[in-house]
Amino acid sequence: MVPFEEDGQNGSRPGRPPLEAFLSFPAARESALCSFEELQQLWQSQPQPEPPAVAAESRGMAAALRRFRRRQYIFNGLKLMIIVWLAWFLLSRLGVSGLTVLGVGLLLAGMINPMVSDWRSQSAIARLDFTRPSVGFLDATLERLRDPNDPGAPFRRAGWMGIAMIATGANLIFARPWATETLLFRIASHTAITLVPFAAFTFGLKVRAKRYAIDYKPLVERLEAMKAALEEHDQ
Amino acid sequence: MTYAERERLFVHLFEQSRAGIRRLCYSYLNSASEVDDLFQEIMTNVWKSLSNFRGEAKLTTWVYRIAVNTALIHHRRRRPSEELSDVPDHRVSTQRDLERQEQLEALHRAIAQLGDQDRLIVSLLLEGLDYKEIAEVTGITVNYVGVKISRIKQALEQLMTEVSHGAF
Repeated sequence: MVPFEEDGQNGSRPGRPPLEAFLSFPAARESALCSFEELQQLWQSQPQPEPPAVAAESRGMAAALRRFRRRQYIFNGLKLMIIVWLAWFLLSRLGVSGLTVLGVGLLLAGMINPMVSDWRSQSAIARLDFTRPSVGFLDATLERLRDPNDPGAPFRRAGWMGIAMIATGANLIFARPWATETLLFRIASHTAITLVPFAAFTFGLKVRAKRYAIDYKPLVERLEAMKAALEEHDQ
Repeated sequence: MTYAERERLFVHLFEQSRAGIRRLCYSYLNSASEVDDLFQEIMTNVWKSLSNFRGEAKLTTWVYRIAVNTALIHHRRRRPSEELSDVPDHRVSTQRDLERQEQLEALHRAIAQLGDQDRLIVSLLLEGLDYKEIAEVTGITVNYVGVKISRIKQALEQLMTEVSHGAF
């Protein structure tokens, strides 16, 4: 039994005699001489389940990709419409006063800021550069996957800032309607609407960390193992 | 690159690399039922990346990079060991066909026993990529590709011997 050659490109050198077989199959015990080149030929000659029209399938896939892009545009458009509607709803219900406009403005800005930051982070994950060599690709992917769990991540910074804006905005919106209430009621109400967004955000971060552990951690661990296996001894 | 040019290049790439990419998917997943999902994912990534193609790498190498990277992060429904090769059906008509079919099955079973990265590397080698091209795809040095392939070949040799003795 002679092993595959190891010293040439593709396991063989031009002009050299074929390698002796190392394979011995029940049905071909006597005759099968199988070099790595033969294995390559065998591999590349595997029958493929060809559809009747390959070009038509390609065009079908391109059309599917166009539909996907259109759907993304529609989805983003819908989100924008919801934000515009919310601004209109709050202003029309609460009346247009300087304080309310400022409050609604802060509230919306506080909602939009972390949302945009999150979308950017999400789309960065979705926009992985698959054309890079695998080691660099794995590095970049790991960096992007770890990002949501990083305390200094842009989402968290934008999130805390957004929550402070939402709390301030909500306090401004209700400052006028509550002006006639008792001082104790006003202090209790303003304290509550200040604390609720912060509590909700803290809870949201915990849920996010759990989701990260379930959704991303196994992938991160798998990618780390793959990178280690690719780079092993490659120094 | 205009949209029409991008579409033309995509159709060309699809037709040119379809068979090789499908074989790579098959050897990586070891399951015919999941090959279509991964293949479609790869082609989607090829389409998305086409606008950034600058011609710095050979087109084949570029496509294989996308294929390998997509395979690496593809969510596999089953572990490779859970499903044995369901090698595409061959029309066996002669003794030689039978031998080839058995060799192919043995090769698939042996590849299925290798690690994820090794399965991808050996697929690239079987597709005819040279060491330099494999290094360009994986991002490891040419020397280390040589070392790795040498190890993979030894492992394959061992595994195929075991397969021929009915170990798997």
